[in-house]
Amino acid sequence: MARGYLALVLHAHLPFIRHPEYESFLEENWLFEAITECYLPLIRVFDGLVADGVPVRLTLSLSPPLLAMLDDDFLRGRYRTHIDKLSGLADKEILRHNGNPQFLELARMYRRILHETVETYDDRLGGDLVGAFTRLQDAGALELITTGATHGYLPLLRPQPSAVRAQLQVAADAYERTFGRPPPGFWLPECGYYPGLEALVRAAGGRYVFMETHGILGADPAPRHGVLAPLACANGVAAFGRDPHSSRLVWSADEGYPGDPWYRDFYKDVGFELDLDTLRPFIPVGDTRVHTGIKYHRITGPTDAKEPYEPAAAAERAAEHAADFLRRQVEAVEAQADGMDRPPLVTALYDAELFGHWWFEGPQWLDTLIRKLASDQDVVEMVTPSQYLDRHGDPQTAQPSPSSWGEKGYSEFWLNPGSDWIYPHFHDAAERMRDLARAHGDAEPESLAHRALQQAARSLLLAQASDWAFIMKTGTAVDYAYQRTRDHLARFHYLADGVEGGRIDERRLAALEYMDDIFPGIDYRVYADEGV
Amino acid sequence: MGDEAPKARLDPDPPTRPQPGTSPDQAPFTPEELRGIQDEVAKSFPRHRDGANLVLMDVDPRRLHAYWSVPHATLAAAREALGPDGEQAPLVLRFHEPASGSGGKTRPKFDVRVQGLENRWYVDVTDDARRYLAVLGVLGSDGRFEGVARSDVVTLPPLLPEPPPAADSDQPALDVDAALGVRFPEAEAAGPESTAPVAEGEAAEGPLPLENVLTLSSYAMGRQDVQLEVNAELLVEGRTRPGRELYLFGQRVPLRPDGTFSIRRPLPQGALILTTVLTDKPEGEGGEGS
Repeated sequence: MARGYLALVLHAHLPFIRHPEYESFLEENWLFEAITECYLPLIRVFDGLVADGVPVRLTLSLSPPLLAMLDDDFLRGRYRTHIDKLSGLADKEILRHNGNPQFLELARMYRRILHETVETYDDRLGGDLVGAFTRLQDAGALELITTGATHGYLPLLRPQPSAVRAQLQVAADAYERTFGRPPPGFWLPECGYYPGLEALVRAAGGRYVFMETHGILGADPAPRHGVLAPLACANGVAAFGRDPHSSRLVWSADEGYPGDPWYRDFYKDVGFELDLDTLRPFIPVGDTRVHTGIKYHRITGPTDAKEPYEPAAAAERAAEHAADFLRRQVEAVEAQADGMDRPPLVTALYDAELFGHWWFEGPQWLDTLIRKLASDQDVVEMVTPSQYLDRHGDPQTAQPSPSSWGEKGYSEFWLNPGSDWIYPHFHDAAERMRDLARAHGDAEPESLAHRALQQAARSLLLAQASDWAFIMKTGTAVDYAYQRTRDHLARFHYLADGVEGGRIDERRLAALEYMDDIFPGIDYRVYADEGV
Repeated sequence: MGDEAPKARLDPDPPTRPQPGTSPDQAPFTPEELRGIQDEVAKSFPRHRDGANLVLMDVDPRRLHAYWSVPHATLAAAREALGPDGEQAPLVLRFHEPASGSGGKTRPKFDVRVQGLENRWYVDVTDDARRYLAVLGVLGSDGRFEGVARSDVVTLPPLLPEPPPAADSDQPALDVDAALGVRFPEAEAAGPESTAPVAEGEAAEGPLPLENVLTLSSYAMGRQDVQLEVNAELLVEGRTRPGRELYLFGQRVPLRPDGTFSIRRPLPQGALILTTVLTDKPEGEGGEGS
C-alpha cells in the first residue's frame, strides 16, 4: 500500500471569446491554439493511459466559458478554418526546407502533428472535446471540477455577495447540465479565497476547494501537517493547499523544468519570422502576426542565438524530468509519513495551458510521470481530492487565511491603478441585477422581459471575468480587455434599462443573445439571494 | 482584434441547438448589423449613479483600497454644516477600527486627505489592526468632521510570520518599507527581514496614503556621494465623458472606457500650469481650461 499520495490538478480556462460580428477575430486564436497544442494532446495522453490500463487519477478543472466555447458550433467551424490554414502553412514549410534535412524533419513533424490534430478532432471525436473529457471522467481517469461561472475573482466581487453566489451557482448549474452530476469541487478563480466563501461553495454543492500555500499555512488554528493534508472549514468544505515545491519545479522560470535548454523555444515562431506576403494566407486577421505553433529552435540558453530543436533529445529530458519529479515526491512522502496521523498528500496545481502550449513537451512529461507512478515505485499513489477525503476523512478543522495565487499572494494583481476603475462598475451592476431579480422574479418564461433578464445576467457574468483585469495588469491586449469590460457592462445596463422602462427591442435582444451565447440554462433569479 | 468592416454576409453555419431566444424564422444576423447594434448598445456605459457611496476593499495585509461617489449637493450640504470655514474644508477618509463585539465603541484611527467627487484611493496600513471601516467627510478647521458616506467593515488578511511565496513569479513579496511608502535600497538588499531606518516619530504619525507617496519615487540615504536624493512625480487623475479627447501638457491622455484617466510624469521644477484641452471628437467642438 502506498505511503502517501499525489494529487495532480490542472486548471483549464480561457475567457469567452466569440465574435460573430467579425469575419475573423484575432483573440479567438487563443482557443484554437489551446485546442491544438494543449487540450487535444492531453486527451491523447489520457486516452493512451486508459487504453494501456495505466491507473490515472487526475483532477481537471474545466471553466464554464471554456466548456461553452468547446461546445459551440460557430467556433468549431472557425477552428476548422484555422487548422486548415495551419496545415497549408505546414505544407509550405516542407517545401521551404527542402534541402535542409534538420529543419525539413521538423517541418514534417509539424505536418504530422496537424494531421493527427485533424484526425483526432474530426474523425475520432467529431469535434466533441467535452464528450472526450466526459468519457475520461466516466472511466475514472479524470475528476472534472468547475470554477467561477466566468472566472470572476471572488474576493473583489464580495462587496455584492449576490455576485459571488451567482458566479458559483451558475457554474455548478452549467456543470450539472453538461456532465449530468453536481461538481465535486471548485477551483476558486485565481485561487482567490476569503473567509466565509466556503458557505457559498457549499451552497453551490462543492465539497472542496484549492488554495494557495499561505491560505493553509496561515490558517487558524495552525495546520498540523502544513499543506500535506487538507483542512476542513467550519462548515465541512475541505481546503487543499498548493504544495510549493512541486509547483516550483514546473512553474519557476529559474528552477522549473520548462526552462531546460533542450526544450522547444516558445517565442521563436515562424509567425514572426516569415515575410508577411508568405504568411498572409495563413494568419487570421490582416497583417497582424501571430504564433503559428511552428517553431524550429530550442531554448538553448539566455541568448538570442538559438540552436535547432532536437525532438529526441527533448523527449529524453522530459523523461528525466518526470523521473526527477517522481523521486522528489517519493522523498517528500517518506520524509513526512511517519510523523502524520494520515498519509501525506502532495497537491500539485498547474494551469492546463502550460502543458503543450507554453511547455511543448509538457504532455510527454505528464504521460511519462503517470506511467512511472504506476510502474516504478509503490510509495506514492495518484489520487483525486474526493478519493482522499473518502479514504481519510475528518480533516483538521481550521479557518483558512485570505489568499490567492497571484503575484504577492493577495488581490493586488487584479486591484491596482491599471484596473481599479472596473470595480465600482461591477458592484453597481451587481446591485442593480440583484434589485432587478427581486423586482421581476415572476417574469413569464420566454417573455421579452424574461429573456432580457436572462441576458442581463449573462452580460454581467461575462464582464466579471478575471481575465480582463489580468490583461490590464500584464499590459498585453489592454484595449481588448477594455472593450470587453465596457461592452458587457453596456449590454447589461442597456437590458436593465429596457426591463425597467418596459421597452425591449426584440431584434437587439436577439443580437445580444446570439453574440453572448453562453449559459443557456441560466436562471437570473440566482441574483435575488443576497448570499449566505 | 477584428478586421475592418467586412462586406460579405457571414455564413451563419447554423448551430445544432437553437440560439437562445431566436426563433427559426428570424433573419440571421449579418456582421454589419451585429456591429451596428453593438455600437448603439455601447452607449449605455457608463451609467450615472445616484447617491453617496463608499466602498472599502482589502488589497493585501498592508493595503486598503477605497472608492467613492458623492453628489455635489451632498458635499455642499456637509460643508455648509461646518459653518463659514466649511467651503475650504478638505475631503477626508476617516478610518476607524470597529470594536469587536456588539457593544463596543468604534475608535477613529487615522485620517487620509483625498479629493474628487468620484475617485479611488490606496491607503497603506502600518499598524497591526485588521478590521477597518471608513467614513468619507469634510474636516473643519476646528476639528469637526461631517460625514457623507460610510463603508462596510473590511478585515485585512492576517500578518503572517513569513511573507507569502510569490508562487507564479519571481517577484519579491511586499515589504514593510514599501508599505511605509519609501524605499531604502540598502534595506532591500539586506532582505525582507531588515528594518528600514525610519526616522523616529515618523511611524507614529500614521500611514502615508499611496498617492502622497507616489511623489517620492526613490529615496537614498547614507551612500558615499549622496546625502539625499528626492525625485518627485506628478500624478494627475480625473474623469470626463467617454469618447472625448483629452490633452494634458500638449499630449493626448488615454481615457479608460468609463472616462477616467491617470497619468504619471516627473514633476518639473518651478511653477506648474496644467493646460488641459478637452475635445468632443464627434462634433469637433472643444473646450479648454487650465
